[in-house]
Amino acid sequence: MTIDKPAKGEPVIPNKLGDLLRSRRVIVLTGPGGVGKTSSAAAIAVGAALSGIRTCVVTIDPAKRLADALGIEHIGNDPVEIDALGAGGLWAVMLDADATFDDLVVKYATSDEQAGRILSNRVYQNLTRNLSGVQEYMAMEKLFELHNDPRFELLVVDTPPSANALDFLDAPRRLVSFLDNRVFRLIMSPGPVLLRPVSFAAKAVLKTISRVVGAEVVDEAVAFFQDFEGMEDGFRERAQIVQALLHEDATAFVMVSAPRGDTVAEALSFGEKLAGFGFSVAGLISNRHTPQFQTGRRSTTLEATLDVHDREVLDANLARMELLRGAEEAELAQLISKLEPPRLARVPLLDRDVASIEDLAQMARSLL
Amino acid sequence: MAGKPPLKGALEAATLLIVAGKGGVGKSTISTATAIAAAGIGRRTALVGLSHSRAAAAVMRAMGEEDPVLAAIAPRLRIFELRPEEILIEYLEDHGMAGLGRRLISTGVVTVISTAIPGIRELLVLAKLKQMERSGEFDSIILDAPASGHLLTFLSSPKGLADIANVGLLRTQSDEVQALLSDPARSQLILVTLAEETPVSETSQTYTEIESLGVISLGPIVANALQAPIGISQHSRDTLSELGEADDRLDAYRFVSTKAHLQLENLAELRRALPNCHLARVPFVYATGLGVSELARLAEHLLSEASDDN
Repeated sequence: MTIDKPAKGEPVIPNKLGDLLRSRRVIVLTGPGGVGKTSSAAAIAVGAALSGIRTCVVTIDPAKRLADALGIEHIGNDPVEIDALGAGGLWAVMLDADATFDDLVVKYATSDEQAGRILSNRVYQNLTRNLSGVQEYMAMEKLFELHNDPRFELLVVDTPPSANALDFLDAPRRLVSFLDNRVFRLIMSPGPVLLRPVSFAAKAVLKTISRVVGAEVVDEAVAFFQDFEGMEDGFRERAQIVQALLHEDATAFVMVSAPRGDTVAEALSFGEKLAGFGFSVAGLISNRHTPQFQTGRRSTTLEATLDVHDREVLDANLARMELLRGAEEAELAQLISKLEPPRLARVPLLDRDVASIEDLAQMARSLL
Repeated sequence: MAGKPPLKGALEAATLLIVAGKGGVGKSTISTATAIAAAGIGRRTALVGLSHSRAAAAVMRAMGEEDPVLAAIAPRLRIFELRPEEILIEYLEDHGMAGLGRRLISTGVVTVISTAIPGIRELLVLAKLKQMERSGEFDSIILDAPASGHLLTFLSSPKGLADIANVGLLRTQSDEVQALLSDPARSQLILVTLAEETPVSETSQTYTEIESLGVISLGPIVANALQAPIGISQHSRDTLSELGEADDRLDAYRFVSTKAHLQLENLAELRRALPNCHLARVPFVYATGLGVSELARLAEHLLSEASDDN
């Protein structure tokens, strides 16, 4: 049985993620679903708090896994201090994207009536859930708010396990272009004479849509754009500020992955997308690695006591685990060579779920 | 029902199987293996995804290269990637509105409308599946569904749409898709989970929600990546549990045994939460990705594994 030696040909990467805690103000975790992003975010936050940094962890995962791991019942849209550490200095917030968006509408509306009309419009109500990336974008919006909160020295942000977890990077642009929609804007204001022919064309389009979806829906969409009139500028400016925050040197993007073929392929495409938006990966967390058991320790008692069959079974089990570990290292090596992360943390697969602050603190040691 | 392989049962019971689960549970692997299994028992099969998974892509490639592993089933298996925008264009063309579709997309009107009407994208996909089912070209249609955070939106879309759109073509589509989903002889939902604490609790929650909403009939739950316990004698186990000396084999044994034991506990929890569900068990594979040979073996397993249902 051949055993892969992981050290051979593996690029030397000196650091885990520890230095990010003091050199950055915001750490955004991103990556494919099912790799332990939420636990990683919580673990980094716990590790930071334990080393005396006042930290707030932000999650938008609706499964409330973070709450489970932190052992608290409810966390809401406002940061809640977690006292389970004893030392303090750890807060958690579960993002409510709808509430965050509502706050923005109220903020930018010119009157209470305008805000009220928008909040009760069905198009608006579906916006956060259905315009791809808006929910994630609201997390960034929340981030901006927390960023200005003097209680926190470090923010650790978890991104949602959606198929397009990087949509939030593009969401501000998409949201603004949605609000600027030409066809609907033309239909709602007949405007200057010159535009009228276009307006007729737009009307024709909407009329056809009415045949497909029913006139009510179209009316409501038009009403939405009428109500939103004048608020786009506020949203646009805000979106630019949030984008600028993400591009600051004090913000780090950390990729979370797992050493499986599917996951690595997804992580690579995430990495490309990030680069496309001008972000670099400050670190890589490779989660759920099969532990290394093959170290050459052999018990003579085991040799003497177990029968041949059972010893063979144990040998085979060890060999299989080692083969799997080798395959995992190969997957990771591929990710490293393409992503070239300046920091790397390899986290072993736990034999059980993260269930307590202690588990998170233990995970933090692998990460930091 | 006892003793019958749950997934084989589902394949024989309904044409459309919607395979769903959270990211990382192996949903694409299971849907691809299920499609191979369906084609393997002689059914004309469509494997449908919203984007090609690695497993589906591997199967496509292998069929293109006339891989002997898939030779027997290749004539009966087709793989599709559905994009809501393209379905919309096709749909409008079929209804005498050719040309409009692309314009709707390029002007952003589709984005506005699909935001105004939650679930229209989902409906488009489901309507396309309905059309495939109606066409009679396929005995089995396996959908690799989007991650289950959106599963309820996905499945509730026709109902929600029927409430919003009182008239028009959309209404007709919603009604027809609802009819497809609510008929257990036409469609079933298969939830894929890992035997870990969080996935198990999320799966039982989703299962219960869907059961109470009644949007689709529930097929078996697939418990994926189950660690087989290590088959050694009781005497050996006792020796190992008391062994004080360090040994690599012992550590590896303990790791695997603990994992297997915890998985059994989590599955027992799933059983307690959902006493009536059918459970299909899929073994852990010692690999970081599955090639077509492993997928074919997995398909065999799905067809032969006996149910442990009460």
